[in-house]
Order: sequence, then structure tokens, then C-alpha cells
Amino acid sequence: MTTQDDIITRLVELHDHIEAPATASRQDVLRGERLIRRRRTLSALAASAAVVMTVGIAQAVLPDGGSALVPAPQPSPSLATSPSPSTPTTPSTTPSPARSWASGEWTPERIRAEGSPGDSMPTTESWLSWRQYTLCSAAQCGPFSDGKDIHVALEVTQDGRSALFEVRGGTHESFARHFDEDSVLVQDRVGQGPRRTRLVGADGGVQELQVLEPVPPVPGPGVVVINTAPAYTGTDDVFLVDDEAGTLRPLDVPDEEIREWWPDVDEFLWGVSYNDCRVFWAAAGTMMSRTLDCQAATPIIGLYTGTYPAGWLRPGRMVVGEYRPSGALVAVHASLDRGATWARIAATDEAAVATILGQLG
Amino acid sequence: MDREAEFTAYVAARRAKLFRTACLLCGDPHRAEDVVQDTLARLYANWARASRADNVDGYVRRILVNSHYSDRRRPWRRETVATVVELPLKPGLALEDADAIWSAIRSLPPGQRKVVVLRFLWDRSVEGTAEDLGISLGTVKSQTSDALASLRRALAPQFGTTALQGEER
Repeated sequence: MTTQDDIITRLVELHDHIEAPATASRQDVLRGERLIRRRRTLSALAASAAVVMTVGIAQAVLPDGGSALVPAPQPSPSLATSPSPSTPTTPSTTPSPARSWASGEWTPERIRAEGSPGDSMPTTESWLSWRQYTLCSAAQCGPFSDGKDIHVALEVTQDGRSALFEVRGGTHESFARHFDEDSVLVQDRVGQGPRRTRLVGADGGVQELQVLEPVPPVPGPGVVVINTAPAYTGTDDVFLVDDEAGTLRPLDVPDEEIREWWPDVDEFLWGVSYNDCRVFWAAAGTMMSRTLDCQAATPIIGLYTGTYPAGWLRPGRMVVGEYRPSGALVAVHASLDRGATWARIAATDEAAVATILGQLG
Repeated sequence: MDREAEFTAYVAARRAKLFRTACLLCGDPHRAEDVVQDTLARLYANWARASRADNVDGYVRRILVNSHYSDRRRPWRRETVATVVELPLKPGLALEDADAIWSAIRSLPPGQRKVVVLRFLWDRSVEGTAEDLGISLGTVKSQTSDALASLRRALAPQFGTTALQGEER
């Protein structure tokens, strides 16, 4: 028996000896039924909003309030849908011999056919996934090449359907993230204009979000972090997306001071500064801040992402790591009461931090 | 057969295995039960789609792994290796051996743990694992190698250095 086989055999032994609890299948059926009811309620609310909007538009356009049909929106010329018979497919990366493109024509189809595929982003439980394709049209492309040299396309796949979308501004100016069960949020820049933000789906649907004025920093559904220059500066910004209204509102926070946001921005908004030992958090619609008692020479702080005791972390609690420039941990700063009080605990061994936090309460 | 009957038959045949796998993915039997319940609720809600996919196990595997992924994205529910969580076990495995293996698997980072579970407990290929997790083939290979090296180091004291000593790949 080889070493690897021995390890795997022991894992399988443990797996096979785990005793599963006896649970009636009926309970699983009931939970499934509850989930279906919840989804139907949400769909009905969204459909009602769409009907109200359509009727409103029709009545506004037709002076006699007539019953002419409102035409369906035409698909964007840059959009291509490619039905797939059963499962999400990985598209071919070789150009089709039957198709040629004019020089300088950078369609999403061409970018997909001739470009390099990125990793497919994790499939959600609703089987939504997406993948970016990039194509360099210059002699050489580097990290700061712009949209004239690097061409990007985004393919969204779900339930046997896929759609391809243009993404402008090269990789430097574009960003994509999962938004909900059926859509991907993609941000890019057309020419020198402002950033464009869209929700796109595998059915070819595109909803461009209108940017409105900032709103007070309040966590909740629809609050998302968008990394506006993902590979280079690491700057995170927070926004409130209302997909029913089709709007995007920046949260009124000191973006230029906050480098990194704790990821659960829908539950509790807090983040840390670049290099001046400050922590920020939202309370009653405003951002509070505090300069931590950092003691390391030229300290760097960051969200503490090590191990926590089970159940210890919850909204309102914050833990910041204080590091030397080498990356070595010096201490953690913790607040258990939404920033009212803070404790600095010297800790050079990450393995001990969970125990220390557990002792705090 | 209607949806409920088909689903019930599927759950009766697979639930125990899903729970065992979720235990190893989560490192916590209580969280594992939550993840399995969530997975099966989503499966039921998507039963028409899943049964059309001609590979219900594959569909469930993806939901399970991604349910765990979603759970991990919420750091409030971050797991810990600092708290000892007892694993419910059937007789037939020495308790000390079980503890050693359980601790070893829980000490792996979540990404490595998922790769190990998919590769060696679900017998997924490198390509299939990469597809399920949405990561590259190279990442699957490196995480597999790192995980096996960590497991070897962790298990050597319990099972002897001779049996488990080997060249780390």
C-alpha cells in the first residue's frame, strides 16, 4: 500500500463510520416547499412591479390610453445567445473556420473564439456561472494596457443557456461579480465616460443601472463591494444596488480612506484604512472611526482573517490585525460592542488568537 | 412518480452519504446538517431541472459544495479548529484513530478540504473537480498535493512514520 493510498483509505474509513442522524424525508420536502413559496412570493413582487411600470409607460406614450402592445426591447447587437442542449458548456477557444472578422472588429464572439478564457467563476446553486475572455490585439499587452489593446468579453451560463456580453475598457477598467441567483454585476468604462454598471443574465437580459446620489451607509440587502480596479490598486468601494428600480447608489463613506471592507457588508459595515491604523464602522447611518493603539514600528493593519472560535463572530464585532511590514502579526485589536470599546492584545502566534478571542467573551 | 415521491426516494438513498461528506467539508457535524438541509431544500425546489440533468448526484454535489461555499463566505459563521467538535461515529473504528483523522482533516484549509473530498470521496477526476469548484486544473493539483502532505504530517504521529512517510509530491 502506498502512502497516498494509506491516507485515502483512512479518510474513507472515517467517512464510512460517521453516523448520520435519522431524519424523515418529509422534513426535507417541507423545507423545499417553503423555499418554493418564498421564491414565488419574490417573483410575484418583481412581476407586479414590472407590470405597473409597463402599464405606466404605455399610458404615458398612448394619449388615448389605447391597448397597443409595447414592443419588446431588441437585443443589443453585441449580444449573442447560444442555446446549449443540456448542461452548461465550456465554449471552444479556437476560431470557427466558417467565420472571419474584419480587422479591428472586436466582437464578443471573436474575443471568445480567439482570446484566452479565464477561470469559470464558481457555479451558484442556481447553476449560474460566468467566464471572462481576453484578447490582446497589440504586439504585447501588459497589466496597464487599456481597452484599445486588450479586448474583453463576458459569458454568462445558466441552465443550458449562455449569453455573451461586450466589456469595455480592458481588464484594467472592468469588474464582474455574482449578484443574485440569476445575474452577474459587471462594471466597465466606455471610452472616457463614467463607469457603466450592468446586471446581465444567461438569458441575454441586460439591465443598465442608473447611478444616483450617495445614500447613508446602512448595511442591508443589495449592498455590495465593487473593486473598481481589481488587479492594481485594490481599492474597494461600496454601493447599494436596487435591481427592481435599476439603480446604483454609492454609500456615503470616506472611500479614499478605507482600503478594505469586511465582506458581509449586507450585515455590518466596517473596514480599515490604508496605513494609519484607523478602523471605520457604520452606526445609525453615519461612519464612525477610531485610531487604534498601534505600537509596531510602521504598522500595517488589516482585517483579521485567521481562525475564530465557533460562533464568536457576529455583526457588531470587529477584529483588526496589526502587522509589521514583513507581514508578521504583532497584535489584534478587537471590539465586541460596535466600536464602543477596543482592546489591543499582543499576539505573534496566529494559532493562539482564537483562544485569546474566546477569553474576551 | 410525482416530484415528492421521486425526491423522497432519492433522499432515502443518499442523505446519509451527503451528511458524511458535509461533515468532512465543514469540519462540524452541526453545520453539516444545516448544509445538507439547505442543499436538499434547493434540490427539491429545482427538482424538475435536476432530474432533467440526467445526473442528479452531480447536481447535488454542486449544490452541496456551493452551499458550503456560500456559508464560508459569511465570516460570522467562520468555522474554527480551536473548538473540539465530537463526530458521531458508528462502532468499528478505534476512537484514537478516528480522532487523529478527524483532527487532520479539520486542520486543512477549506479549499484543500473540498479538493480532497471531491477527489477521493466522490472519485472526481482532476478535471471534474476543477469544473465543480470553478478553479483551474493547476490549483486542483497543487491543493491535492499540499493536502496530502499536510495529512501525512498530521497522521504520522498516530499511525507511525514508516507507514505514512513518503516523498511529498
